[in-house]
Amino acid sequence: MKETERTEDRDSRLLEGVRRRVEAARRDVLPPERVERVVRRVVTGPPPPGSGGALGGAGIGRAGLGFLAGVAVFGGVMWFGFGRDGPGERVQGTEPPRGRPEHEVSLGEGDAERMLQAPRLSQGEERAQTGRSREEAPEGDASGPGRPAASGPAARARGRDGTAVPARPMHRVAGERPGRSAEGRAGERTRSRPDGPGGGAGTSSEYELLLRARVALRQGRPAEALRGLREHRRRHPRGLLRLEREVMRVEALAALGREREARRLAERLWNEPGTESYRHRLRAALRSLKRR
Amino acid sequence: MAVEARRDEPEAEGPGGGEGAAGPASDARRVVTLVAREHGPYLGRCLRYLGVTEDELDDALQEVLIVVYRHAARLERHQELRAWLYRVAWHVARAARRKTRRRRARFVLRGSSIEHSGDCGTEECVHEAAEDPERAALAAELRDALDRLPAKLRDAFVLHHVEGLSIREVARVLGCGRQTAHDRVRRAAERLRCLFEGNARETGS
Repeated sequence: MKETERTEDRDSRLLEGVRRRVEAARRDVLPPERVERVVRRVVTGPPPPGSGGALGGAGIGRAGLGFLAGVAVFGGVMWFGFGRDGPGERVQGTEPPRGRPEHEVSLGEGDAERMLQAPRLSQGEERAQTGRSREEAPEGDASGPGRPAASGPAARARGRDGTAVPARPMHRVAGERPGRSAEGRAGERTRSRPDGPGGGAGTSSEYELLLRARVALRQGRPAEALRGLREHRRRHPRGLLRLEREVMRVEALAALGREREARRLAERLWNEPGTESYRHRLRAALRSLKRR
Repeated sequence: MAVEARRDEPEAEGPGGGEGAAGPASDARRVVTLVAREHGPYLGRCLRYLGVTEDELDDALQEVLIVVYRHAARLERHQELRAWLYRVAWHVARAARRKTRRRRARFVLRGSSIEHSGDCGTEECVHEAAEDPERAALAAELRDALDRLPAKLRDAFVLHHVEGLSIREVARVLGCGRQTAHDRVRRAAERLRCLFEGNARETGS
């Protein structure tokens, strides 16, 4: 009601010549299907190439099928788990509310709690274990979205709370369908390579390898992290998360005290295109060397 | 914001716990899904009118959702989620505009021409335009006119009049004072009126 009054008040102030066009613009919301598609890109990655579904992709081996089955299981778990937990009606229904969004997400208290009840390593514990803390991202995350999308590797596998972070969208390349996540593209790329990643394990394994290495690094096991990174390099020599891997190598080498190697690698990375967003990490790693 | 994170829970299964496993990542995905379904259509519209081209729109919306993903566990801090989301969208839109500008400049320097992709080539847009051609034409006119406004005026106008944010929220999103926001909205409306009247005179004559 209040919202309606406010809108009317605003309209009365709006100049006549502009009003009709603004009204037309207000109905110009993005179609739900398109939003759904983007959400899928963020939360699960795109479907494999070939509209024949999971099995339509050419050259998908046994491990590839395993990966696809994993994705299907994940989708099922999310879908049905959500339906059971409460906000199912809204989540399962593909139609978003037509009205104006409220100031708050209209999740019930219970829903939100259930959503976030999954066990996790608290930040405090994590920091205590790793002995490191990260800078808080500014509100509104101006730094993240403000950067040009192509300025870094398309994905960053590091979230503040140790979770996998989905890939950033990159510049599209010619002939590519718009709206593919970098993660998905990596999957496609790796699938299409003859020497595919670990027998076609896909991007998830690329992520997982790096995430395992990262956790090892954060928990003070740099040698293990380095082994994981080596494995990543072997399986995904030109993977999408290559830069992330190299930066982590610098961090692991620094943590091991292998100064010369760390410095050499950091110097090489410093001027490589796309490493701008990693420089603070390189700097921090080198600074930690000086403190030794 | 009703989303509250529990920080005192035991350790998650681990990063390799599989995508289907319950954990921070899957929580974040759920938050993203909910936020996207609630606000996604409006954020998409906001990005579109803030000057993100149609072919970049999906990527831009994805950027916004990624920021939501990253902040999923801390969304309880944002008392005004909507304003926060619009702020994120505004940042993304600014970056996208810069990118488009650079790309266009590059094309111009190379001597080739690049069409401004104000038209939407996607299936949905074609469908929409076919459904209500008059509305689509009016909306396209507004977008074209907005393209001719200075970015600051455009942003304030879109957030206030198209997205329905209050002046206080616009000021918060744009990081300026209320009076400044109000002023920008007013000036933008004035300029748009002049533009439309000028167009009408040209068409009439």
